Amino acid sequence: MPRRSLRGIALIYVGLILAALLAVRGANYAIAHRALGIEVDRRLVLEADDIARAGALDRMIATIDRAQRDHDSADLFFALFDRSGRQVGGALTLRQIPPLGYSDFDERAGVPGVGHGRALTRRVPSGATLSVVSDNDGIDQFDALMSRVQLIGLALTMLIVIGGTAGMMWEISRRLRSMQRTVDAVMGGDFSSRVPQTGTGSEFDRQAAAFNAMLDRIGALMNDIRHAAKDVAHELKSPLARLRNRLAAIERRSSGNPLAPEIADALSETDQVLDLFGSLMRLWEIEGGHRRQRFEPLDLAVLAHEAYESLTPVAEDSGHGLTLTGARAAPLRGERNLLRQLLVNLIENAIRHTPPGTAIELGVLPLPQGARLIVSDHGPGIPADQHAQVIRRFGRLDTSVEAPGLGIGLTLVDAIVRLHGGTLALEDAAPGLRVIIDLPRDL
Amino acid sequence: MNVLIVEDDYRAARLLVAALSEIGYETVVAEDGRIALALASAQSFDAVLLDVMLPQIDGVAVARALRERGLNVPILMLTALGDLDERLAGLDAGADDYLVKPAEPLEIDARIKAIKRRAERTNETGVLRAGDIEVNEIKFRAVRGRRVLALPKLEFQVLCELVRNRNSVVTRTMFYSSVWGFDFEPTTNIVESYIRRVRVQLTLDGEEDPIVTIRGVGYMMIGEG
Repeated sequence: MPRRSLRGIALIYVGLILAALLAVRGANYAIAHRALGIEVDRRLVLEADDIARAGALDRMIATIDRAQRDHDSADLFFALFDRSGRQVGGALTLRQIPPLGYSDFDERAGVPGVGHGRALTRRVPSGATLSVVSDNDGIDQFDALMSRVQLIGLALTMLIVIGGTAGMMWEISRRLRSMQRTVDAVMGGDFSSRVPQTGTGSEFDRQAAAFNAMLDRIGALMNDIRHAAKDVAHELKSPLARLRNRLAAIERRSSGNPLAPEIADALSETDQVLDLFGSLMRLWEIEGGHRRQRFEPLDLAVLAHEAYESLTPVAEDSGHGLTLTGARAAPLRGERNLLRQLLVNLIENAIRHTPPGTAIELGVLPLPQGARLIVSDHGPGIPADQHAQVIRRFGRLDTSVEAPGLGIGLTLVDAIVRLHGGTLALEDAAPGLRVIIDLPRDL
Repeated sequence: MNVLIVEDDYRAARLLVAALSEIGYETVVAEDGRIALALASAQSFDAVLLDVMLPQIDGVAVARALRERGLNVPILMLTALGDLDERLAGLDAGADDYLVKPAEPLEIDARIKAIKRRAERTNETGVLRAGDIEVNEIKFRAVRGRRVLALPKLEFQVLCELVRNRNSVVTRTMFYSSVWGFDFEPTTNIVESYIRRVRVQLTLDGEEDPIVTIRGVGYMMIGEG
């Protein structure tokens, strides 16, 4: 079965109800119409029997006259013909004698006073022929009235069905939307978000509870993994640090030794691994969210200026031109040390991953609800299809050519941005990379 | 230098003792907070190396108890993770500085010496000297001999750190926390760039470079105070 939208299912449902109602109402109409027809035929037979019972021609004529005066049979007309076909009784004028048995006629028959009619023609005693005609205009009016009643009934029923379906759809969509909001929040990094429950124990509530339980479980598993990773990191960090210290001690005594460059290399590689461990632990600390308790009012423009000042000598030494623009006051609530790290990391990334002579621009703009930080360089940039990858943990473009450190730098930046409820976007600076960070004034 | 090591993990304590004895330290190890308090009250130490995670009385409480007993021995906290709350709790309790375990002996040495320097200069006028170099922290003025050094704010602070800790090592992390206020390690060598600028100013007239680079650790200014 093809998958349909909620709206599609509702439309099909309403269509089916409409078809069923039309069929029921149609059958109603047909049955009522047919019942009336049968009643008319029965009356014709009764009247004809009455007349026939009179027997003699003159007695039958008298019965017809009596019947025509009778109010009950005002819609009935009679014609009595003798053996030779001459009309001898009844007020009905007919151009010709209708065929024996039942027959229908309309205006074309030219019967005065009768539009639609039904006739019963039969032989009666004395060799005469009797036609009894019923005026069916009343039935036509009844049919019209019944149609109107049926249509109004149908319209009312459809209104209730459509209204009810729309209401149900709205309610279902509302629940689905609230679940979608939770999914979006979780995808956006807020793992604490849960589907609201009403506590009524309804199907929706039970589903919300199951969904929330699933999120709790995933959270617990993630925590387990994080703890395991932390334990491993700790177990590895101590021996690595001891190794580093021993290498450092050897290196200090190695001047003049032919192995000195090798020892220096080993030391520097060990330092890189230790830096990575440090960054990882920092990342875990940020992702733990405890730093939110240290949020304070600060000015991003001031922090940007400090970072610009601190890194200007480094940029100069590596032949990069670092500029700071648009840094007006940009107040927001945040963790000072982490925002410092964010700024330093971004500028360092630009310095390390672009060739000497590349211009690097740092800019801070106030936004209506926060501040925007832009770090652009005009280096080789990052292909757009790899932007997501560099933010991912340890994502790097090509390990063989990239300088070490990119692996976790942007991941840390991303974690800091998310802790502050902000957004990180990478853009093509044509040429180069532009990092755009929007931070809300307050969480 | 005679230090008290407070560490419940036998292996970690042994490694610390070995590493510190290599650079000429004498050490005493206390396995828990109560022993540490007893030892520190009975005997005088040049410094206390205090692990945060201890059985019964934790490191933060030990630091507070030491201060409450009027002992102003330099306390260097050792934390397992660079956890900010732990570090700040330690500093609030009266510890002078903190290091993330496992710390390098030279880093420990540099920190302890820096703490002692800070304690010594509490009553000074803001003037620090190392050889013919003089810095006035209050007036934001630095001279070598009779020549005034043209140093921007951050370079000036780098020079102050070196002069204050003359004849002992100032590590990179010490620079980052005291000059820049960073609680993280940048990936580029910011300190190196600033030291280069300070050196240029110090040796403009062809004077001898008073700054010694201790590879992999930091920098040291040579000169008498």
